[in-house]
Amino acid sequence: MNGSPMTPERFAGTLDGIRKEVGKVIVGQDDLVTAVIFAVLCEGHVLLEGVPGLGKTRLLTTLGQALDVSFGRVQFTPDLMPADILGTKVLHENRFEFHEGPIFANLVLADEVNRATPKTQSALLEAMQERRITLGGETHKLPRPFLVMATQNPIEMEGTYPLPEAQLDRFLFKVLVPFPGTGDMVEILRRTTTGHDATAHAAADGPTLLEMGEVVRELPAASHLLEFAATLVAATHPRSEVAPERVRRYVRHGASPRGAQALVLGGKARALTDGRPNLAADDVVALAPAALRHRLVLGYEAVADGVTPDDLIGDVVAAHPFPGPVS
Amino acid sequence: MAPNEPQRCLVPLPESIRSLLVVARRRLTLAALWVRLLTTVAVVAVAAAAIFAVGRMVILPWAEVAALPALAVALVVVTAATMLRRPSLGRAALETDRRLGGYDRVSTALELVERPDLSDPEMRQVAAAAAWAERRDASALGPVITGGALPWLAALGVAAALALALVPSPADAALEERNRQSEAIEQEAQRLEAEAADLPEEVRRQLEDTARRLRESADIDEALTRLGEARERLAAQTDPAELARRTALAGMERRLQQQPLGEGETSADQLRDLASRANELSSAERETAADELAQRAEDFQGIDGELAEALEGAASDLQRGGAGAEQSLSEAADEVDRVTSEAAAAEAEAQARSAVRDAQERLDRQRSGEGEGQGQGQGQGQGQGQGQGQGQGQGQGQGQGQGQGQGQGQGQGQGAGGGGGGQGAGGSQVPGTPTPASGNGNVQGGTGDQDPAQEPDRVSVFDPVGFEQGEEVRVRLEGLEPGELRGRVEGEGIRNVPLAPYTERFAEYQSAALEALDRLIVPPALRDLVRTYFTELEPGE
Repeated sequence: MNGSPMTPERFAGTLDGIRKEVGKVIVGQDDLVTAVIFAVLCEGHVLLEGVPGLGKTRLLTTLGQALDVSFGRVQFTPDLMPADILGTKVLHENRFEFHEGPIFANLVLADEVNRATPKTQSALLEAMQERRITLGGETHKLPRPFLVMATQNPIEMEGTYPLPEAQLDRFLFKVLVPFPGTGDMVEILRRTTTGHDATAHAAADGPTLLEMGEVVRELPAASHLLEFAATLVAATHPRSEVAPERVRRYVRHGASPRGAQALVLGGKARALTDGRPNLAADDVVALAPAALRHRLVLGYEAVADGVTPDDLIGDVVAAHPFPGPVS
Repeated sequence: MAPNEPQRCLVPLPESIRSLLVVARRRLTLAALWVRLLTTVAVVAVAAAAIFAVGRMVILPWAEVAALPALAVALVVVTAATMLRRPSLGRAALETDRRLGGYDRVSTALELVERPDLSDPEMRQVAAAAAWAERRDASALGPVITGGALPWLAALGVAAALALALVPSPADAALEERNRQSEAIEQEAQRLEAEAADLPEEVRRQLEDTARRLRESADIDEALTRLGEARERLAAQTDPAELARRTALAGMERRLQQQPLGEGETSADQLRDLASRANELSSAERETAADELAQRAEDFQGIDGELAEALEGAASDLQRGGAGAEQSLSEAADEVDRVTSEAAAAEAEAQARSAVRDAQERLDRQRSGEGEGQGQGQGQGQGQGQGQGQGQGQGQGQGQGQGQGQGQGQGQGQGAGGGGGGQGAGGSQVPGTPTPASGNGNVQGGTGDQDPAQEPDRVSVFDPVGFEQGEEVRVRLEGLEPGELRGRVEGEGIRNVPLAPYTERFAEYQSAALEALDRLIVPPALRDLVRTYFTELEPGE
């Protein structure tokens, strides 16, 4: 959209434009919008957990409009096959042609991903990780930027196939979608029951997003902040010396190094979003729940005692306070 | 530059960041110093308070003396350690970011400037951090002296320590008493050393050793025990014969000072003066001088035969009025000089023993003062006196006793003339609790037909020990007025004990009495009395 180099000022301006355009359609859900934008900048994937009807699909559609990128949506069902996601080869004029599946989009919504069989889930998650698919000996690269936003419904678990821990680990963030407040509800009603349908306009494009992603990755991060992120992740392991007492008691497996990567990368995006020239401990701490909650495997005692991953992440952060301006 | 060394392109730390870090570092140092000093004061004060509290029950003489130096040393050590281990620049950068809301700008920039090649984003970060630091006021880093519970804890500890140190306690009195005892012991040790300075080598070493052992005593009781041991050692090495000779010599010196035979300070000088005037003496003067010399010769019978013989010879020559009197008297004077010279060692030992005894008595009085300080009860106790007397006379005595419950006393009597009587009075002195008691002296006057107006020229001491109680005893008196002394024995005695010359027995009595004083058998109140008694009874008095 603009040929000038991606400076922090331009980065902030573009991001502000994206937010404004999304804000025209999406009411509230600031944390959700922010996390998804961070994930887009980091080229990571997001797992959303919330009841239906909270605007998850709408968000992704709007984001696609604001970012001027392609959008694909897959409703996961038990009879969904990998080819329904990835695409298939079709015989056409005596030769097989590859017909791309919905995954060949910049933004992909995998709705209720836990309802598909593990085989189908695995096909999606492999594509998420490799950013390419191989079919009939041919490899097809997925477009960039590439973001999968998978959703899970926490209240209807019967007949579902919970994602294995190894596959959960491939999501950069797991965001809990809260029910909107009364004020937001009123605004939602006002916008959706008057016949006035707001539409987002493009505030960026794919190359700009990639450029912004490069800026995120190049953002300076001091060694002590990387150590801080590593310490937090290490503290989620029950056998770690730095683990708090409740982590030792309730956690069976802690976060993987991908968790630390998510902390740092997401933190850089957050710093840039705030217009700061470097990563700060505050960014790491702020993103700890989203980056780590799906990476903790809790034991039965945690379920019995009603302990959530967010509780344990709070313990980890409290046990390792960074001497910086942690809010 | 080494050929293969990678070229480094370090970016200098911007001045705005540096100046901010300098202030932050100084502030961190002072803040750490403040907290550590307060912690030190609190810890030392609480520890001192605990020690002072224990010191109110147990004597800890070093407690109050050591408190302030310990605090001073701790403060100096803490200050030095803090200044030597000041916070690093990195720590100051973190503190700056935290205090001023830097979001790790300064700490990140501090790290980036150490890297060899900075990328554009990194250069931008350093520049942004510098611009940010430029706009920051170092005073916003906050005060160095912080509040919280620590200052109050330190103040509370100091107040508690001061209160416990300043409010008097029983242990303070005990400590004061111990110091008083130590001072008294030190004084006595110094006196012994001063006394030893003029004595012969052997005796001096013994006295100095006694002084050293005295200083090692923990309290007066131990000091008294050690002094008693010293006196026993000195007494054990004293030759009884030497003691008798010294006693007899001293008796002769006193006698001749009261009734001089001639001019001169000493007996020998008087004898020499008498020798020089031997040819000029009248018959009566020769007779008187001869009698005196004969009596002195008898004093030395069995003690120093040569002197006795010389004195006897001089007396005979004087009585005869011959020309040999001058020679005999000169020889007697020489003999007196010899005995005086030989008695010098015994004199030194006696002087040492006297010094030890005096120290012992002073310390004992010091200890008695302790009892009076705590409370004193005194009453007349049931006493039983013993009297000794000769001749006729009514004696009066006075005794004091000390003991538990029942007093025990000793009496001493003096009578006009040659008779004496004893009157005992017992006293009960129980520290702390007054014990009323009634006193009743038992007068035992001696009986005899000796003229009380006339002083006997020779006295024989009767030892009643060993005789049956109530047995009548007749004592034959010799001297100018021979006679017989009758009396009844109160107490047991020794049968068929031979009578011995007073000068011989006196030494034994005096030795036994001194030994009793050494062993502290005699109550303190009576020791002066006993000493005076034997002083007055010494031959020649």
